Amino acid sequence: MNATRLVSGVLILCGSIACAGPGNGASAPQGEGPPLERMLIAPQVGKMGAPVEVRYSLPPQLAKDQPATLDLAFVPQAEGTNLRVEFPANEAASLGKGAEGMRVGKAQAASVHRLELGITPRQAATGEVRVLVSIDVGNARYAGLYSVPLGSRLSR
Amino acid sequence: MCYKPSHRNSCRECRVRDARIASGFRGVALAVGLVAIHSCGGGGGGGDGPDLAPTPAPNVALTGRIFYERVPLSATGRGLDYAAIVAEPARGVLVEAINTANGSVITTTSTLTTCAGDISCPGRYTLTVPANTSVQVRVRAEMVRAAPEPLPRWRFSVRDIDTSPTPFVYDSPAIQVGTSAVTSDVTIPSGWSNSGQSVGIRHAAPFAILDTVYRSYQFILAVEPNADFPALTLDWSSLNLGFDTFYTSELNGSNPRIVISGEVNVDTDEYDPHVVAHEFGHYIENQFSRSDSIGGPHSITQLLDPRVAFGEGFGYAFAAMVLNDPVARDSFGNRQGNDSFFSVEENAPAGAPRGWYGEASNWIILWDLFDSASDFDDVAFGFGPIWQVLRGSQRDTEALTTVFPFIRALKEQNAAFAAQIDAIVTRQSIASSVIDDYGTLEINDADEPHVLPIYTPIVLDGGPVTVTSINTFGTPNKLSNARFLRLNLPAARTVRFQITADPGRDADAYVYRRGAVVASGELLGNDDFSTALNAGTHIIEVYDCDNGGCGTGVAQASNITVTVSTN
Repeated sequence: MNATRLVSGVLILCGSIACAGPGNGASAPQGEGPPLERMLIAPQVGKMGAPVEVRYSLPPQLAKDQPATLDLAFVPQAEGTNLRVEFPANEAASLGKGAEGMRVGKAQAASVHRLELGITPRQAATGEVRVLVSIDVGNARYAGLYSVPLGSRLSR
Repeated sequence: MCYKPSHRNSCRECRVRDARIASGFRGVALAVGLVAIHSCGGGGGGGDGPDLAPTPAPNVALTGRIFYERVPLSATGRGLDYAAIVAEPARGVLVEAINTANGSVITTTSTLTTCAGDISCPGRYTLTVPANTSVQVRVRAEMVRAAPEPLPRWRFSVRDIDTSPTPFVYDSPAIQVGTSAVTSDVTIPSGWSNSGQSVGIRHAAPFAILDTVYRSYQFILAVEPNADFPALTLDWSSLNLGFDTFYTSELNGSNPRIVISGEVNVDTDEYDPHVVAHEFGHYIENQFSRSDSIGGPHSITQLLDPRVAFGEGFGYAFAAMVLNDPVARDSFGNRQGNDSFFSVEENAPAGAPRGWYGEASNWIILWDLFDSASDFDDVAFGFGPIWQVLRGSQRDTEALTTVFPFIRALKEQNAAFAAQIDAIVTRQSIASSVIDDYGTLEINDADEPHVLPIYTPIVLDGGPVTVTSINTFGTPNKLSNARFLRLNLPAARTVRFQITADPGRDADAYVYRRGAVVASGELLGNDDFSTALNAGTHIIEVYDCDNGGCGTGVAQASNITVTVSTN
């Protein structure tokens, strides 16, 4: 069944369904961190989002109250300025290093901007880290909220 | 309605009350009834004395205006401006007089919206209540005009569907009504201080949402005065997660609902009129016209499934039309101090693809057809001709609801302006001069081989046809994730569909007749199903499940072979 169109028998417009999979590939140097192509795409939540692809990589296993590193990569899909990354409060994990987010003055299309985020999962089996991204493109500003699911990696 | 105590055989007062109810003073009669019940049942043996009815308590007018506090948007890009909180009239909302002694509803009315030449009119209410009563004014987050009122009719209500089956309400402090008219204005607080600190419950939020709905349905009434709006629930809560605002309904269109974000420091949408009006646009398209959009995530740079591109483009253009403001804004972030923004008037937004698959191209076309600004277009249709197409041809098209049937019909219905329409549409790299519902002669292929034709012809018993589902532009609602085939049946008959995926892949299929799903194949791997179909054109949508959002594997280009045959 197509999850986009038939979610519990309802039609959803501007809905929050998304899925992992390769999007527009970035060709710029990737810098340090996991290879971009091996990172998962963070789904964007809800209404019109930011033209930024967000990828993430987590350790195979996470444990409650055990610190870990969430590798994030931000790939603008258009040339822009004022790329901002923030982390709204969440219940799934406490945030450490990198929690202050990131700001990039000029961001080329397909450039890769990385951030290591220290996380300590609080819950045993559920939750997500949310990433708020905005960018100015031309005369406009776009924003989107992305979700990095932790649940499936947490040991119970 | 008559309370008849068991120790009495008759109750003259009650008959009086019934007569009043029948005369239409239902709310007042109920209130009087409460007094009369006491008279009727109490007193203990009137004996044989004169059977005189007590003088009913006189009624008193309770009037005033209802305001709600709105937090306006600040300068572009700076989010909400708490220092500029303003009280605005709550137009067309339900107001009740509540008897504070027992919580009963004495009477109900709606606040006024506009009165010629009277700027103090919007938000005004008048309630008739019994004298010498303590009452509260209860404002319901609901706008209703229902039978037996003649058309138009509507019912729009704001509630938190997770916690309550009824709309939000705001109760005034108790008002002691004496024997003369009382005036009492009510201002519903925002729950925010002028410095942006939370100072209480956000009571005003549902009413701010309703005010945008008011503007939206009034916009529709201007072109369809007898509109009958299906009941719409606006689901708002301070616990609704940020960025998760959307319109939804059952697949048959029933139970329409708009969910609105309310998460502080991430995204609140109650004071973002463009966001609310955009979602109302989805409701309008779905309920009055037809939307075949599959929804899902989208952004300005993406090449979208054309159903999504038209639906989202319409939503943004509709909001701009309703609000007469081409700049869409959406506050977000810490203390709602930021906002996203773009203008539907901008003819070439940076990063936006031009074409039938771009949401920006769709909103630019719709806005330029509507607006009176003379930039590159020479038409200013207003909403009337757009609405005519949406209500007619777009709803009934045998193709899917994209820009193609919309423009084809608009040109037909406004033939004198065909050249001007072509100019607007062609600027968005869409072949307007040769347009038909299917984009048959479209040449914009997004530089990708598996995009055109938009609808691949397929013939009953005509052998297999192979199309390719791709993930070039992302998933799960992007261009050519799903491919469309067009089947014309000259007569009703049972038809067999065989959908064959590449080895190891999962292909699914839907068969549509005028946008309604009439059959589907959603098994893992290949599908083989038969169904009875009416005569006419049917659209077959096929997609690789990993490209279309239903798989758990890797998205990739995948061939899908379709065979349509008699059983």
